[in-house]
Amino acid sequence: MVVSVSLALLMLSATDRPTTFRLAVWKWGAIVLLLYVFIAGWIVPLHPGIIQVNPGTASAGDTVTLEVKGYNTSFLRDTSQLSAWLRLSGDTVLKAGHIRVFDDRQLKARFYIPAAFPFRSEAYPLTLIVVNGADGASVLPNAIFASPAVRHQPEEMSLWTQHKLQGIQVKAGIQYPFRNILAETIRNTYFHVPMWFAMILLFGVSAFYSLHYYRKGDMDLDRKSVAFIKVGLIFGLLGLLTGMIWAKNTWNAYWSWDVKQNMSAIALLIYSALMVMRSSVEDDLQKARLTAGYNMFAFVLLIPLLFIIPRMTDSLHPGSGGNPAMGGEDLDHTMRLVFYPAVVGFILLGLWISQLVYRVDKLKGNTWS
Amino acid sequence: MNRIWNLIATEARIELRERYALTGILLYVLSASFIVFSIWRQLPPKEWGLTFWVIFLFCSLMAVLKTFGKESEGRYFYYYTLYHPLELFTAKVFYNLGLLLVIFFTLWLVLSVIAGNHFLRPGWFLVTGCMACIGLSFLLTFISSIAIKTQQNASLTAIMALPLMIPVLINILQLTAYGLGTTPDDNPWNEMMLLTSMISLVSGMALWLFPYLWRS
Amino acid sequence: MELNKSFHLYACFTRSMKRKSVIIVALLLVVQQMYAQGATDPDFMRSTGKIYVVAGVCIVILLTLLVYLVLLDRKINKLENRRHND
Repeated sequence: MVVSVSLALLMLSATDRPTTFRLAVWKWGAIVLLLYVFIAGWIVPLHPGIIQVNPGTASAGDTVTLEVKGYNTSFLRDTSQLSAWLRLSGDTVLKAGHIRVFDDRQLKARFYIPAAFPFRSEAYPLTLIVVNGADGASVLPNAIFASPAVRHQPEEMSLWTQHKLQGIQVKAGIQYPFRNILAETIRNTYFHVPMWFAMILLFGVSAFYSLHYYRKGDMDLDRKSVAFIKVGLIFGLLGLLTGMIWAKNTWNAYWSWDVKQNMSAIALLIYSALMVMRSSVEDDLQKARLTAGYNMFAFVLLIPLLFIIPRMTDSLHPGSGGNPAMGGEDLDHTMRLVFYPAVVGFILLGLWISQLVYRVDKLKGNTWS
Repeated sequence: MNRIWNLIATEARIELRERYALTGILLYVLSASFIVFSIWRQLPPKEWGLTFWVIFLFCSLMAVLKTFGKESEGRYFYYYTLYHPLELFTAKVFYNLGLLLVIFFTLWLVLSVIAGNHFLRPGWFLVTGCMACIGLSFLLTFISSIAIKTQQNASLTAIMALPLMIPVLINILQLTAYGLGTTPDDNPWNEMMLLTSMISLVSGMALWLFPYLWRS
Repeated sequence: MELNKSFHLYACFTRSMKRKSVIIVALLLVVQQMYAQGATDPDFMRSTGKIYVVAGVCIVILLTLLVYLVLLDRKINKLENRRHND
């Protein structure tokens, strides 16, 4: 944040007419970072995972044959260590009695669910783990739900601890984690999320210039703050659009009245209102002053809107139920290597476009006055 | 302080002289709640809270819209020479606060009569309502002071104020749900803290920026 | 001479604008094609681990930014023309 703000200041101080055109270093930085993000974001494969399990329920004391559909898996390549597990918790695991592999993506595993559980519950969610030499472990949390046994048989309790799940090899090479439901769309972390970072930062820079205008009253500062708002709106709109495409295919609706969706839409409304307000004032000085006042006011209200309220309410967003998507587990080490450059790259791109808009507005002001 | 009281009194006198203004607002409250009730036919607690705040929102917009609208250009100039902008602003805020409180209690009364009073904790709702009135009177007064400088006063007040009101309103809705007992949440102090801090933010910003926006 | 030069420049700009709009239209068609496919086959967007969702997101971002840049370009063009005409 601090780096980008200082960069923003730097770039706007360096707009004196150069004799020959040379692209500023930070613009090259934006290009390089975005190229890296688009390439790495697309070519790094996803860790093998399990997409589907059939059936979804089983009753205790029965044998169940699970039809497992893998994603990015290669079940056939190294069958020496092939095994399948159902995990209740920690070391309470069941090993599949028999596994039949059809191809790289499909196998059937037969489990016997014991008629006794270590604790009482209405239904027992079981995590499916498929291990093989090539893929390491592919995991699907809550793959099936086991209902309690009709006839409780305490002697079968020992089946839960008969085998130990250990010595799983980690798949070699870099890959993004496979998350249930998200699958490949985990890559949207690099494209959708930075839009919001860029928007907030652009609005912040704009509020900063409004504060400057409030102090100094220089029309140029007003032009700067408006340029940042315009581009911030574009980025906000992009965040909303990309989020909607994703939501349609994940939550089955473009708009699910999720807190974050609502809050960001409101943020866009606030700033659109600012642009409408600007267009309905004729006097330039008046316009600049009202913009500065409303902009600072809006930005201060934006902070609870975007940072506090979403944290206080449950959200459908990945990594939610308290903390928005930056939680430690949701963003693993490999993803950080692309995510942070993505954020910086898109922010720089936003600053770049804002600078262009500002320069155009400045030219326009000069030709007319 | 005395000067502020004077301003408020003048304001109130003008308002009462044109009797249709205040009566108009009360009628607006009455007819709005009547329309809503005749559409819904019955209001279970949850919907009661939502309906209440929707009607309140539009009534308060209606009422505050005219804050700076009544005066002619000449009187602005007169005010500007006579009073410090902060005095003027405080007077307007207090006057609007009075209006909002009147709307709040009227609406509560009307909705209780036609749809029943569902509150488990009416005290909470009372506190929430008063807080909401304070916050919204600051916000709306500030926004209408901006909107008055533009060409489309009425529509712009709504366009600018509504999205800004939403964060405050969401909090108020949560607190109302607590008052009605329709939420499993039994620790409203977090929301209360957030509401208080938002209101202090809004009022602080408004008090800081108003003198700057006012001179022109 | 001066006039000729400005006219020449203007022609250049209109030509480049035309080329750009052709590119944009082509891109739009491609995207439309993609979405049309998605509309007929409800599982297209969700196939292969929903990779097409990521593709759609990237295309929307690039396209929006490009369109915005084209609009900006047009604005600059107008300004320059005005300057030449003065």
